Amino acid sequence: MNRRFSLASLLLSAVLIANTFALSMPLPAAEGRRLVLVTSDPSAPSLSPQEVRKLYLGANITRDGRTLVPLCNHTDAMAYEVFMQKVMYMSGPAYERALMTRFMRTTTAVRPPEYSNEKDLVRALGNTPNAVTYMWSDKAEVTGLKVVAELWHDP
Amino acid sequence: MHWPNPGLLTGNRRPRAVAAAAVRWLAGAVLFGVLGGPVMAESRHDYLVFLDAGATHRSGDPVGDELKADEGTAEATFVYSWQGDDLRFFVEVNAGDGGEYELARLQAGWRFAPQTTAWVGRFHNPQSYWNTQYHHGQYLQTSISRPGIEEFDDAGGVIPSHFVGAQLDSAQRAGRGGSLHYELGLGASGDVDENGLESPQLIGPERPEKLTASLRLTYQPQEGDPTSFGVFAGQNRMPAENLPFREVTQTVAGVSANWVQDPLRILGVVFFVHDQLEGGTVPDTAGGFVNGYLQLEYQAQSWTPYARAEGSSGADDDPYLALFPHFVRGRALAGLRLDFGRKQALKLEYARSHIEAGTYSEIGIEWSMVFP
Repeated sequence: MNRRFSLASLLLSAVLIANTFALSMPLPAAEGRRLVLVTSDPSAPSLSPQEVRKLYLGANITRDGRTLVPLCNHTDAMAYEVFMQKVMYMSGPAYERALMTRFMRTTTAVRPPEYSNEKDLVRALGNTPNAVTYMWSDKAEVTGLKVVAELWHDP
Repeated sequence: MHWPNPGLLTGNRRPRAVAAAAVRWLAGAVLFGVLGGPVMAESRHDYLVFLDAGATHRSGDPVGDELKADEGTAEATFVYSWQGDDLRFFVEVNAGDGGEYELARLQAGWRFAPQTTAWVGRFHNPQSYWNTQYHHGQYLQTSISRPGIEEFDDAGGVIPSHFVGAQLDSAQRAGRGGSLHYELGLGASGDVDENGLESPQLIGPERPEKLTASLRLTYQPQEGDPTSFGVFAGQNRMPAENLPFREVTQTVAGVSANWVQDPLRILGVVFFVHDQLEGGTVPDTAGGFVNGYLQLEYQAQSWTPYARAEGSSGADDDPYLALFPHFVRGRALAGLRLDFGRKQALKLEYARSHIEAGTYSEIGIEWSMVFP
C-alpha cells in the first residue's frame, strides 16, 4: 500500500469527529403504547419482529403460500420513528437510502409504497392482498384491523 | 420505434449488434404491449430522479498542468424499472451540465425462475463494489467523491465500468436467514486509446470491441440487510487504437466487505489487477497492481462524519496505468454529510490525493437529492 498517508491517524481523526456528533437521540414519549403490525385479512398468520424487519428491507416473506406486501406508514411521525429505531435499527434517512440502494443494485426491488394519509393507508390495506403495515395498537382497534405482530411496547 | 434488421440476428453475430437488437425487440414488446394483457395486468414499476450540484477547489503541484484548480459540476439521473410477471425492463439515463447524456444502463430481462433473471442490454460491470451499489445516484453514496479505482471508465477510470451483452442474476437462501446472490456477465467491453477507456455504446458510431466476462458473488448474513461480503473476478479484452500496442488483456479480482451496525458503517474493498499489453510496434509487456480502500461512517441523527483511505501498490510497474495520468493512486479524505428536508443532502469533503504527477489537496461541497 502507498505509505504517504497514515491510516491510524486517519482513523483516529474519524473517531474524534464522530464522537463530537454522537448525540444520543431520545425516543419521543409514548407512554403505555404498543406498536403493532396489522393487516385487513382476519386469517393472516403471525410474524416475528425479525421477519418484519426482513420484509421491510425488501426480502420476500411468504406465509401459507401468500407473499406479504409491506406498506410504509407516514401518517404518524412517532410511530414511524419508533418503528425505525426499535424494529429496523436504523434512522429514517438511512432506511430510505438502503431501499434505494437495493433498488439501484437489483433493478427489480420495488420499494414499499408510502402513505401519509390514514384513510388512504387503511384503504390500501383493504385493497391490496396480503398487505401489512405498522401502527399504534389503539389505532388498530379503532380501524378493526388484525394484529399479526407486536413490534414494541412502552416498558 | 426503429425495429432491427433481422440480418443482425442471423448474419454478423457481433455481440453488440445482437444485444442491441434484442434490447430493441424486448423493450418494444414491453412498451407496446405486444406480449399481451395478462402480463401488463400484474405489472409493477418504480422510478427515481437524482439531482446534484457541486464545486471543487484544488491546490498542489499537479494543479494547473494536469488538473483544473476550480471545477463545478451538475448532473441529473433518471432511473425507471418495470416488472411484469416474468418480464423486466430497466433504464438509467445520466445527463451532465455540459449537455452530454449517457444511456448508462438499458436492460430487458426474463425471469425464468423465481429468483433468477436473464438480461440483455447495457450494464454496469460487476467487477466492482461501488459502481454496482450506487451507480449514478450521487445522493446514495455518503461521500462526494468515489474511490479512484471505482471511477467510471468515461471519467478517467482504469477498469471498464460498462459492457454490452447479457447478464444472469440469481439469488438463493444461504445459512440461517442469509442469502447468496450472483451475477454473471458476458459481452463486449469498450476500447482504449490515448485518452483512456471508451465505453461501449448501444447507439452511435461503431468502435472496436472484444469479449468481457465477469462474476460476482455476494453473501448477506441476513437477507435484505445492508451488511454484505463479496468476491468478484473478471477478464476484459480491450482493443487499442492509436497506441503502440493492439490489445490490452486485463484480469481483475477483488473482495468487498460492507459491515453496518447502526450508527457505524465500515466498507472495505481490495482489487487485484493484471494488465497485459500485446501486439503492435513494441514488445509485449505486462504489469499489475493492488488497490484498496477503507471507508468509515458514523451516522449521528442527520449528521454523518466519514473518512476514507485509498492506496495502491505496484502502480508504477504497470505500463497500462501510463495511459491514466489522473488515476488516484492514494488518497486520504474526511467529510461531513448533512441529511435534511425530504431526501436531500449537503456534503463537505477535504482530501489529499496522489496521482502520477504528484500530490494535491482538494476541498469540495455538494448538494444532492432524490425524488420521490
